[in-house]
This record gives sequence, C-alpha cells and structure tokens, in this order.
Amino acid sequence: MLPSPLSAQVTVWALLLAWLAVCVIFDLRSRQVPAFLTVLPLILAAIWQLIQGGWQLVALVALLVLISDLPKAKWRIPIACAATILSLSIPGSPGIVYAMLVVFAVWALWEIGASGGADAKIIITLVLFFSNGLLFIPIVLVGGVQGLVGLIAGRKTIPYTVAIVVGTVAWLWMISYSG
Amino acid sequence: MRFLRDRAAIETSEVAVIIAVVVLVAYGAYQLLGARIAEVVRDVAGRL
Repeated sequence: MLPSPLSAQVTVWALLLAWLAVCVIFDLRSRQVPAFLTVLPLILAAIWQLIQGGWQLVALVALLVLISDLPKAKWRIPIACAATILSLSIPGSPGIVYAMLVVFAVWALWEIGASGGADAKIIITLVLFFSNGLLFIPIVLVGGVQGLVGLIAGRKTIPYTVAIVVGTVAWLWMISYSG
Repeated sequence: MRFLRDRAAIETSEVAVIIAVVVLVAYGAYQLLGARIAEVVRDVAGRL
C-alpha cells in the first residue's frame, strides 16, 4: 500500500528537522558543521529542485559556487550580481524569484565574511527544497532576536543554526496553518 | 570549491541583528508600498 501524501510530507519534514538538529549539535559543540552534513543535503535539494523544474535556481547556485573560486576577490560579488540578474531574467514563479534573491543574499553574506559557510549552505539547501525564499524571513527574525540576546550577554558570535532550525519550524507551522 | 569546503557555522551577533532589521524594514516597505509600486510599473509599461 502506498503511503498517503500527508504521511509522506510529515516523514520528509521529520527527516529535515532531524538533519537540522544534528547540525545544531555540531554547531553548539565546535561552531563547525562537517562538510558531509551540508554538501550532501545541498546536492539532494538541488536534484529535488531540478525535478520540480526550477533549473534556473539550481544553475544560479552552481554559478555562485564556481564564482566563489575566482582568484580575484573584488570581482566575485559584481560577477555574482550579473549572474543573479541573468537568472532573474528567466521566467519563473514568484517563489523562484524570491528564492534567487535569498540565495544571492546568503552567498554574498558568506563572501564578505559576515556568515559561516555551513550556515549559508544549510539556508540555500532549505530554499532549494521549499522552492521559496520567504522561508528566509522567519530565520533572520529569529536570528535577530538571537543576535540581540548575544549582544546583551556580551557574546560576539552566535550559533546561527539555532535560528535556522527555529525559523524553519516557524515556517513549517505557517505553511501548515495557511493550508 | 571554497564555498563547499567551508565548515564554519558562526555568525556575528551584530550582523544577525542588522540583517533582521534590514529584512523587517524591506518587508514592511513592500507590504505598504508593493501595490502602489506595481501600479506605477503597470502605468509606465502601458505608456510605453
């Protein structure tokens, strides 16, 4: 007997949250997340996005990964801007457009050193998986609260995976509630 | 693959707060002015 679509969705969300929980554990222990925990899900989410037809979003992510290896650092962000504008010119759903903007913003924050690579890859994986950049809003709002608490407590850095997991749970709750 | 190899999971507290404020302001502006901006864009497109 085939599983119902609802139970399949619940299973996928449970697996997603379990993966995020493991990332949080590594982050809290060492402020690092092993590459296999971020690269493998990123590849799986890219394959999923290709199946969904969002090839332009996957192409943008692949381009940004390649651009990050350009030898001249000062050219990386301008070239990434051009790649993003080019990707945005390809017709797509509003969700894909937001997703592209978020992917670029997250990558750019990593490129200027404002964010960790593991955090950036996890957020991009989630955006690829849900095909919607609006997921970024609850994550950054929770991150803002976490940052504020960090500042009050006198901590210079925060484990951002906590904001990612709490923001994702809030996002899942919102999309479940809105049907 | 510098991006794929980076394992750091760290964010500066100040940056987290700044990003949250920027996103909140941008989202608020979009909610307030989004319909008006779309109207202006449609008007310009119509004139062209």
